[in-house]
Amino acid sequence: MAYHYVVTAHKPTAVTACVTGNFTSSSDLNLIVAKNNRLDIFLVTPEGLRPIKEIGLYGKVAVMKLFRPQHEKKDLLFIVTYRYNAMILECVGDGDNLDIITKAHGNVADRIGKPSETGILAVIDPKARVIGLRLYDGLFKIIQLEKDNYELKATNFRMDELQVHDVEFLHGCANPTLILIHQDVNGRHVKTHEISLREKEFVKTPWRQDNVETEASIIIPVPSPLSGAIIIGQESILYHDGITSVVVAPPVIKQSTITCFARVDPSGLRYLLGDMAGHLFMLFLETESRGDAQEIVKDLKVEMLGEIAIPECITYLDNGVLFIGSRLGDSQLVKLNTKGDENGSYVTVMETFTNLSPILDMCVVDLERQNQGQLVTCSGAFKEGSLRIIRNGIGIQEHASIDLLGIKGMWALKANGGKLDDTLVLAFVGQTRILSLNGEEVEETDIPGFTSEHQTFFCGNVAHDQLIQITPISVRLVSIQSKTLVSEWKPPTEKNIIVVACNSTQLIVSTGNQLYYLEIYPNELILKGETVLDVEVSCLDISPLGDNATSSDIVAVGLWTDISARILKLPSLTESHKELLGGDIMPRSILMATFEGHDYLLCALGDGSMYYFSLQKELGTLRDKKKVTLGTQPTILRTFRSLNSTNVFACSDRPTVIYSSNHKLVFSNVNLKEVNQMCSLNAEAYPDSLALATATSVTIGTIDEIQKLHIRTIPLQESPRRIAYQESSQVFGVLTCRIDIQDSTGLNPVRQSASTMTQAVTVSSSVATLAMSKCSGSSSVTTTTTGGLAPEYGQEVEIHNLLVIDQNTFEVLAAHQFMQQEYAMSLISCHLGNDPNTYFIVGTATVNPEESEPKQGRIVIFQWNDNKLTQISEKEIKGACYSLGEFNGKLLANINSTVRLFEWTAEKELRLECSHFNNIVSLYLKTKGDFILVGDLMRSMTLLQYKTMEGSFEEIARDYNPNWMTAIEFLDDDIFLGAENCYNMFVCQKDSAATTDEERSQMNQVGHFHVGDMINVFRHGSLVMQNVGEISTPTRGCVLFGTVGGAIGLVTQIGANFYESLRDLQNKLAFTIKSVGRIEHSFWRAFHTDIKTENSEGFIDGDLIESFLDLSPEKMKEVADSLGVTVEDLIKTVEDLTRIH
Amino acid sequence: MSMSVINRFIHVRDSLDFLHKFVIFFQSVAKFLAGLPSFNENNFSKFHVDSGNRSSSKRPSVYIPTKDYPAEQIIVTEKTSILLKYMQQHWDKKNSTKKREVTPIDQEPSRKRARMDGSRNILD
Repeated sequence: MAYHYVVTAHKPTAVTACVTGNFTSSSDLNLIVAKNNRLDIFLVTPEGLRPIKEIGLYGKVAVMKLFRPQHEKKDLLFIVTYRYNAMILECVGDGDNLDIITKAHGNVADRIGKPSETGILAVIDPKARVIGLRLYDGLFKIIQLEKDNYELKATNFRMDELQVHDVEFLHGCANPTLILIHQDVNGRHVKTHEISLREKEFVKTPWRQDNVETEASIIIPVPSPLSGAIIIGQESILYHDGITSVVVAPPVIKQSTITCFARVDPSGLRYLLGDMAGHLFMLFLETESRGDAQEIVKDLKVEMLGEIAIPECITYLDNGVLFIGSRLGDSQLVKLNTKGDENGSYVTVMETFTNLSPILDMCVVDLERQNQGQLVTCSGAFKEGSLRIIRNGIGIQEHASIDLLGIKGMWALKANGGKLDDTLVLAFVGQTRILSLNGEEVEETDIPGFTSEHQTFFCGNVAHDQLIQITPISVRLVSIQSKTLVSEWKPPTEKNIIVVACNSTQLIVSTGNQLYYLEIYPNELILKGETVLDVEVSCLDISPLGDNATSSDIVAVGLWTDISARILKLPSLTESHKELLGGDIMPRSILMATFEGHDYLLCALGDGSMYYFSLQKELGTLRDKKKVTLGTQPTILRTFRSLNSTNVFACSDRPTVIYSSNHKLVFSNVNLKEVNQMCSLNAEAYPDSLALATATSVTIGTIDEIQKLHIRTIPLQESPRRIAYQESSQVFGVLTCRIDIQDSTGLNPVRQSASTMTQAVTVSSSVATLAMSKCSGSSSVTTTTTGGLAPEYGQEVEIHNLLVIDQNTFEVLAAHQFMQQEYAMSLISCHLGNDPNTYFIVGTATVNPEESEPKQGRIVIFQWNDNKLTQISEKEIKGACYSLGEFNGKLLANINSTVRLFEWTAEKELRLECSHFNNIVSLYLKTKGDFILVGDLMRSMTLLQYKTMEGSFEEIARDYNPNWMTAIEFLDDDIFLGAENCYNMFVCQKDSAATTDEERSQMNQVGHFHVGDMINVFRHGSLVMQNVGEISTPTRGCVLFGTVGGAIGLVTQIGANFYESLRDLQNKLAFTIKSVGRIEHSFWRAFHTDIKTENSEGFIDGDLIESFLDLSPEKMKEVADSLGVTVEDLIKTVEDLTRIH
Repeated sequence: MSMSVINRFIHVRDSLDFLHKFVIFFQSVAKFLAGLPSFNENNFSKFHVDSGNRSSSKRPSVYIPTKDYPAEQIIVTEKTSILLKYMQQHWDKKNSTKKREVTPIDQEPSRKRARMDGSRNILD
């Protein structure tokens, strides 16, 4: 058996629904955003959106609505999941003590019924009397919202209309009345149905409007007193209230298709509309008074407001601010301005929310060669298309850099006593230099009271408006006002000062074994204690612990010879704790710090490793010794503050930021190669910055908000499909697709994007006859209609390209445009045969709309050499090349239903060697040794072996379950991982030891699990540094996956015993952690397809396991007790598991 | 695999017309955008626009409920198929109409009569 642990490293980010209302209390305005199976609740505040809570559901949200029952002061949340779990949620409590109460829940699935192709629709009557659900064709389900009944009955109504595109409740009706758009052979029609709750039927049709626009797809119900509804079509907008009807066809909406709307006014006169091209419109109902003082709709006006991210949903928040939820790009907070800008846009983007979805492809690379992988994903689509570089760590944005060699120490000063730093003190061997920061200018200066003849060990602002400088010779106290020396202290012996530590009121100085403790007074330094230690001091710290503390009661000391860390009490300098660190590497830097209210002692050694302890400052004792490896060189620890939390910067050859998250220390690497010294800097021109010294320079930069995964966006403005990394030439190959429109001058790109903005554009041979007119960096291809069909006027055409992108700058170096109707399907970078060159190989398909599957395609071989992309060879094939693989110097290709192996001849041509035919559509391909794993459209996975002697394929084993595959991967020689299109993943094992041929030829499904998101890609690799810490977790291997919802997860193998213990923990947690919406954890993780549901097996749900760390201490204890282990052990086990991603 | 190409038409001239209209009626957009609804006028008032288009990655804390609140209501899906329901309703209707038909008959004296003839006399 094989056991696996699956966990989300980056939660889904695609926004599928958003609503605004008073959820957390009647006076709070909330935004609730649904991202796959997670809800983010925000509070609207004067400062912007404030995140309040993130809620995980055991189901993928299909519809989310806020509603307000009559006589209630706040809103309730109604959710239906894709597996038909319905729930009504209420938020109670305030501040941090919010609780989400499941007011009602239940599964509304029917045993029979054809799930509607237009998806799940759910609507709530404006008076909150009933909820309507359209789940299956021909049925409409009504849930009566009765306050006093324990059971809320969900009743099916028969609905004559089979193909319903949208449904809503009308406002201002005595009985709940539906309005719907349905389609039949004659076109689309609008119809209303009045519901009789007593007879459980639609009793009458108050009005109908046959033959509305054939693409009408959205209904907007208009509130009372106007009532009626707006029907949005492709080209026209109709208002109808049963009596009057108004139609407009504003040309501006024809460019694209409107997909979502948001009501602006409660009275329903204004609506926001968003389309697939990312345009934001406002729809305005113009009314006039009829004789009887009743307003009726006279006209509809539509105006374009500007461009936004391609929206999935829009909601109006407050004071002209909207939230734009996107599935294809970053979601946005935007503001509407009454005045247009120079581009005629009335929209300003205030904030963006990073979104990786949909992840089409990705690759794992180690660009910095730091033993740490980073992911580059093909994310988003159309104008939101981008590459995202995801790495575990923290980014530094460089703002300024000064070349300076040999910096030994660095401190920022408020030399003039202001609130901001204005001076940087730099220590070198035997001297000190002072730089003043004047705006962005940096110039050398001097402070009369300071000495520049010696290396500075410490410098800083201290109490009573004074500055301090500590050199090997003396401690110098300088008045800010006069800048002159007011007091100087020298060690009583002739020895030099070797190690120091200082805070604003205290300092501790060592001259070897001698320790002196001094306090800082106005114009005076007073020696308050001294002692002699048995060995020499190697590092000291006297950092005050806790917020607003200015002095410390203890001092931390690191020592030579006996390699120990000690805590001494002040002012007596008596030892309260001694911790022998073991080994023979001496401590180089010691630091006391408070993270999330917990005190720690960190002690870094000369070999890049670090011990950390929890520190009891009252007792001066240490507990819970732990060790991590941060780098390979001596490490220096410095604190800095970011986002009101303490962080520690470990300067070494692998700079690391140490911070605390959920009360555990997190070690996050920084995207810099080496840092020797560091100090915080908050200067006028460089607010909240860090100054970082390397061997040759000082860099001033800002540090990213603390987060584990750092995401950098490279916008392409066209859809990326496949990516491959070529190490030899340090470039990425990316297949993209952009949209061109046929107009009077020929095919022209809809917008400028990566493939049109590069200077070096080449085209495939048969488009070479097309004239290429290039002007100012933009290319436009004009058709001369030789060969291929010229598209009709106004037709949108997909143009596929291969882009070559620099691995460092991410600049598009070259683009190759494929032929019209030629779709680039697959891409690899590899060597072939004995040929020393590395090639990009692209598999394509010629797509003819009349054919059910492509009959033609090409395999094209490119070389990137000397900054030029050259086509080396091409091979015509009879179908679409869905995937490519390198296989022992040969090329494997999935072409329609076949797997084919090509040899690379000395003439640089591809020659077919052998084929395998036993698939419907062979979509995916992975290789390992002599084995080939093939993923089929609907016939799961097959393992092939290449027989070198015979030169043929042999089918070794197959999974006979009908699985519609979306991704496959080898876990090892016998274990294979597959993902299928009902959001499940499964593991198959080949049984080589079976006795019969038949048994051997069958793969056994040994594990299955519901991920809840569609996996598009699996890649071997890891996001964490491979040698950090002592990872004792028995996990083996790591496969990362990327999903349609923008999530990144990983699968790793675990042993049987570990599996059993985690399984127990998982079961216990599934009981302890209550499910919002009361969906059982086992139901959520069960392998579920249209044809079967089986309990999850062979997989541990890492997301649930990790939530153990968020439990209260009592609950942790309860869980640990029931499992018969200590809380500490359990925390350690789970913490170790969190460090794998 | 479906690889349908979406056929759509763009009327360039219409768009140009619109642009023209747009210029003329740009004030109408301002009218549209005047008086946008406000729940609390302070909301977003202190938003730092100077920092420009900022990217947000702050995450709220994850809600981990451990307290069990008893369910107030459960949603129960009716298990009867609509066909059965229809027939039942139909049957009820038919019955009820029948009843109306038979009521007058009910009011008639029963056709069954007590035997008043000699059979009883046998026992006598």
